Amino acid sequence: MEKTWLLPPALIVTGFVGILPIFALLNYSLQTPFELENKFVGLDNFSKLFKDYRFTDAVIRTIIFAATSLAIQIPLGLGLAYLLRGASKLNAFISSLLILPPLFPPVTIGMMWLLLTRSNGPFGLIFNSILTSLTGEAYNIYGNAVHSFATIILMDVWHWTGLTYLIFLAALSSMDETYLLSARTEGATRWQIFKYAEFPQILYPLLFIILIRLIDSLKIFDEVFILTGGGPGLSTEFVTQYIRTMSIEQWIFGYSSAMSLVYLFIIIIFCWLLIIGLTKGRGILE
Amino acid sequence: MTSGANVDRRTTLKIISGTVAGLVVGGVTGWFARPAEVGAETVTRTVAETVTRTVTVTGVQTTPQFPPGLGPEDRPFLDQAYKFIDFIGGDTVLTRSQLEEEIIHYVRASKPYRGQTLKVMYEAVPGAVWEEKNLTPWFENITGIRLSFESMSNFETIQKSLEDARLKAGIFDVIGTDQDMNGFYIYQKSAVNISDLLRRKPELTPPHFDVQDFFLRASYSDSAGNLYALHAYNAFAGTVYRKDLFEDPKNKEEFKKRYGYELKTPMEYYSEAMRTGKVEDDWTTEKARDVAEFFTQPDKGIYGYITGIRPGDWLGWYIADGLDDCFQLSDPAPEGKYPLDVTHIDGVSTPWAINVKDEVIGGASVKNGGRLDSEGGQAMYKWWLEDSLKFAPKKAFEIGVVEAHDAFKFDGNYATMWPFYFHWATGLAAADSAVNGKFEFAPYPVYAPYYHPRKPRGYIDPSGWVLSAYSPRQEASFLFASFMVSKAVELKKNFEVGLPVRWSTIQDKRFKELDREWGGMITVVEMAQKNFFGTDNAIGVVYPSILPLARDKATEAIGRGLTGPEIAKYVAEAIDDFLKTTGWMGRKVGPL
Amino acid sequence: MTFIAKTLKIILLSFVVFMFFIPLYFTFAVSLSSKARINEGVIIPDFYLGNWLEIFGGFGYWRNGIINSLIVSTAAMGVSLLVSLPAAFVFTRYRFLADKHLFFWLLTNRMAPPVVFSIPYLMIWRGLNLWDTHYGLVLAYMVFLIPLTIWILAGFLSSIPKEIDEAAYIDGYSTFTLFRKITLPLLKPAIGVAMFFAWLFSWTEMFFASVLTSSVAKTLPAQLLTALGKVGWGIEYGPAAAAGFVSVIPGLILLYWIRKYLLRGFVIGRL
Repeated sequence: MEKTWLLPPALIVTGFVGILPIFALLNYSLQTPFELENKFVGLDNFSKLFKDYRFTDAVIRTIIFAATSLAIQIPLGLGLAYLLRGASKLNAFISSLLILPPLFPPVTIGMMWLLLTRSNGPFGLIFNSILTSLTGEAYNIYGNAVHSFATIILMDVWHWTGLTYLIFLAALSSMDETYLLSARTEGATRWQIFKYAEFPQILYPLLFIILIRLIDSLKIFDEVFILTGGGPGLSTEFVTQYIRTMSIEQWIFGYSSAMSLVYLFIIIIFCWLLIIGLTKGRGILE
Repeated sequence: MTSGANVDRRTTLKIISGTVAGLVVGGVTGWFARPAEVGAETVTRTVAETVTRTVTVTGVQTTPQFPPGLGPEDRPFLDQAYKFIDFIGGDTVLTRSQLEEEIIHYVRASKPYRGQTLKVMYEAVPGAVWEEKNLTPWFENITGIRLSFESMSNFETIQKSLEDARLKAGIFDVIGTDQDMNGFYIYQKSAVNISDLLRRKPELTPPHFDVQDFFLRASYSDSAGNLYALHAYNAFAGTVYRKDLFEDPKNKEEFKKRYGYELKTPMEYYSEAMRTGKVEDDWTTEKARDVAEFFTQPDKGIYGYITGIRPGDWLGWYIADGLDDCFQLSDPAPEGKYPLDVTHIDGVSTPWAINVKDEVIGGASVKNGGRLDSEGGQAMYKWWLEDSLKFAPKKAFEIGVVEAHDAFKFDGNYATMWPFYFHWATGLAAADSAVNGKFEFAPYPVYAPYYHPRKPRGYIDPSGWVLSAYSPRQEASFLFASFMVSKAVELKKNFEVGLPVRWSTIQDKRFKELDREWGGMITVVEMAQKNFFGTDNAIGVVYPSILPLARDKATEAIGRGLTGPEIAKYVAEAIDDFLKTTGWMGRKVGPL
Repeated sequence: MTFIAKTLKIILLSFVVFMFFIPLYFTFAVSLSSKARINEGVIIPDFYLGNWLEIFGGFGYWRNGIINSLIVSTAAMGVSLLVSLPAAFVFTRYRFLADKHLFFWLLTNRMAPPVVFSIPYLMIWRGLNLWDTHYGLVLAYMVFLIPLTIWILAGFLSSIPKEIDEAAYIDGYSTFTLFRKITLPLLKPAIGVAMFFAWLFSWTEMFFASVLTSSVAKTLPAQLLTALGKVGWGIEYGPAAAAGFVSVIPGLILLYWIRKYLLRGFVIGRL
């Protein structure tokens, strides 16, 4: 095989920026650098991690957030793709509005929502009137953990539905109609058509979008930090924010390195299981 | 060749060897091709500009003599220097000849360092912003030293100056931050000892440097009097209030009826107490509470108080910046001295009422010798995170402390706010302010049970320029920093920003004329001056780590709906836990 | 469509339009408001132009942020594509030992939160004099962009049947000519997609930018983070909103150019 030199450049670069830091982190996680004295503590940092309620809470919170947000934005994207796939000016207009938020920098989205959800901002006013008429409570992201968490999820759905929509739209428009036709002539119901004729064809895009969105949700930082800064108490503090506080702010660096490695490991395992599960063991290269 | 249906050993081998070869080649070329050292001496200004303009026509010398130490090659810089002197004009406390002396000094002293580039980072306080906008182009032209700026927020400055100190990397040459970090810098030896630098290189000292003129020298020095930063702008803090509301006779009548004592302005209470020496006459936290309650009429849209408790860094620094001084949690300054004169209060000191007897770090909670969860500390948290919210509008939950300052200015319907930073005076006096002409300043209220006349009672947040000890360009950095805070520019700067750092400025007649417009800010500073205090040097050593911790714990506590006293205990315990686990508790950090 | 379905559709669509239009309008309105108006609550702006002047003039912080973002995004996009295209080709055309594992490892780099890598990068870059340079930031972005672009390209490449390759080889094409004359044209939409995502990622990335840059190479998102924390005279929502608006524009332009390709390009095909 000639042209095998095509691959090494990518490996070299990624190796440099991807492996070197891991070694650095491993190195730090076994010591207490940048603190009063740097001593070797072995696996102490790791064992502390598992007893740390703030960490385990943050992990659970992040997972709940990711699961809920995905559970909303993916079906929503699919539904919208079905609804809007005809060619019409109205559809095109709505599509263009939908597709915009994924193009915004997350920090801009955080800032937009910060201003929007104040009590004198449009969303603040509207949510407040909805909530007070339904439950009698005022809308208060900084005082009420549920409001805060719900707003974050809403913001994330708002942010990314456009992307899921786009992917499904492309998938739908490239679908092979023959299966559909044969299913229809055989008298299948709409649901059966979907389940047996259409769904298998959107499986790969579905996997793609679930994987991407899951990874990004587990990594979320910018918007949440700007909007709630961790929320009332710690109710919207996700793992990335906690790592940041420990590493860049408090410089308890050995501990935060251990945390980084453990969290990275968690994410990788998650994704690996997902890939294996959804591709029935064939792996992602297929 | 096959199109690859089997695992091919030879392919694998080729890929591996290709990768290894690539790494080696890439590494070697990368080493040689790496970008030039940031800030290497690149001559950015060819000094060999033609000097032909000095050619005389009739033998009459049309250009001024070169000052000592300078020659024809310095002509462009001298020209700029004279232009700058004209720019300053009369807006200075120096005489014309003193001004010339001072500026020419910079032309001379910068000669060896021309062409260097300094990386400067600063917290975007109005004084620094003014300096960057107005002074730095002049500085670059007068000295030939180039500047590269990063302007940032408070939490970022702490974060990045921590990076500089921890990594010992010399990321920045000059750091503009506030004195909270001073103890930290001295302990870590990451800031240049300026007094020492000037002893070694006396030619750098400006003729009118006048260190004694600085208002709060102590906050930037160690116990031996060595200077570790150049004091650039003072954020004094105290009480701001709506004078018109307090002086309204109807309000006075109402108040007397309801509370049984006279309604006077906070400044009047304070002056009275200074006369009689009795704290009951003073502007106390009791009275502040009564006043806030009295003025709160939500249906009329008026509130007695405004604050901001959205999750953010202010939940850490608002206590440090003054609430703990209002509630008199520290020990008094030693006999014969006042808080303004000392860098360290032996015993319990602020911020966070940590015990630092003999410069040994103790704890914040009462059982470890501190006072954060004492009666006073509990009263403090009770006021801020419980009671005051009854007297503030709902938007206090959504805004931070800084936005609360904005709100005081724009909404115009709050009776008091404390702590409040005095440098907002220029903003409050501006045309777009709703309280223009109606506001006045007073010192902090005090918690009567803990009051002592030699305790800190005014917070001063002096910000300044620190020179990084890891920078190879310390001399140029000193020239830059000293230029920014020079006596030459102080007055002009403070006409606009109101953050005077020098006595000569505060006592200047022209500056005092602004006092009325600025709500009596200068009067307060002159009256309460002895009681202004910043961050204790010993506590400063752990300040950067405690700040995010205090913030997070306060946020958590608010989220859990704890009462004030519970919050006090919660935060105090958390701080002590931290100090214990990191090994700081019991450690002697002085002498600093 | 039945009447109920139609009404539902209209309700749903109005809701969508409302939710997605208001934030845009609002941000734009805030960018045209003075501080006093922002404090009150912006429904109609007071057409204060100072914020936009600040973005393009002022101290130059915002302006430099925009320029730096443009430089870094374009460079990162270029470098990652240059490196990933051959790599994706090799992954999909050839089998070798541990190729699947290698591919997965590449993807795991994409999974790492930026905060995990920031301090190691800070220290290593500092030692190599790459801190606060455009090179440094572009290099840091490679850890995400290379896996991302390889993934996208490999996805498309694997749907180009190998029979085409075989036919070309039989006709005597070298691999390189095959690539140039046949694969590349077929791959255009994929490259478009990869370019788009690579550029967009770099344009919107904030964390690395805030840690690894300072005065020289600070990008727009990092500048936004700074502005939202500034104490001084108060938080500058006006200029931040204007900058936020600017941060959307390139994405819009890009989207417009490649919208045809995007729709066609997502034809991933049956597998």
